[in-house]
Amino acid sequence: MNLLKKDWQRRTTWIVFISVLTTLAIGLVGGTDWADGFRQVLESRGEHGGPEGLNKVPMILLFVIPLLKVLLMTGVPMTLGIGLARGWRRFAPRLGR
Amino acid sequence: MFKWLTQLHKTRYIFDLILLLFFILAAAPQTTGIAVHEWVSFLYLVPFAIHLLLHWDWIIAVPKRLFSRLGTEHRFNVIWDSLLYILMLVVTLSGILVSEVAMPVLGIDIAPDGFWSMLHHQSSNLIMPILGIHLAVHWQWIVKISKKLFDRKKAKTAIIVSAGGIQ
Repeated sequence: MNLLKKDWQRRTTWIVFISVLTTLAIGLVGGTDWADGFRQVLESRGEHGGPEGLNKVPMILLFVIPLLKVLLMTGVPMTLGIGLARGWRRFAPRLGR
Repeated sequence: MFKWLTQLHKTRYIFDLILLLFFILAAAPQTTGIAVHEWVSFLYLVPFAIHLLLHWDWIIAVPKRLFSRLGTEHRFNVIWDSLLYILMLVVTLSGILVSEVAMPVLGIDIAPDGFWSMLHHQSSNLIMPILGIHLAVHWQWIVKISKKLFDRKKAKTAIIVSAGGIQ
């Protein structure tokens, strides 16, 4: 506990340093030929606008559905993962792991 | 010493809960609106850094043993958490580079770029199931601390109720 109090500045510096360094490395991806290729593909596709059927959807659903999407896209893999982890913990000792 | 330092697990739990709430808010820009999405995403970096700080011991201790005596589950955990961390940085960087509200307010105008926009959308979609699995891997810890916290609250309520009955 004391270590957490004593070392927080050093730890924060490390977190910021590594994060900035990794972010800069990721940023380099934007300058690669691969990224330029993607840009060309996206430009050739052009703008098509939003889906036409969207106007018929009730306003409230337009707010609720994205939130539901987040909950489902996080919750479903989580539930499956919990099941899988339980199964793994039960069977792994039998497999000798 | 601060009280929160003596209750590290409780602090971790509360900050992780705040982090999850921030994530849900930031991950649904159609619900909150672009402005709220961008500012919440910026604010999200604070609990995210605190999350890393509070789990520092684990971050330092476990990867050191990655290539030695470490179970498959822990090894998977290290790789998965690293993936989540890198993806979080991808989402953050691409989000900054496609910012429509926050960055112009801060006086930084960035020309819209299809590549970063596409990367932001794809990585933010990908981060949701990856976070789900991250939560699943740490589920035992979440359940353990939840039980400890809520049982203590129950115990306190029981004491208060019984004390009221004595009066």
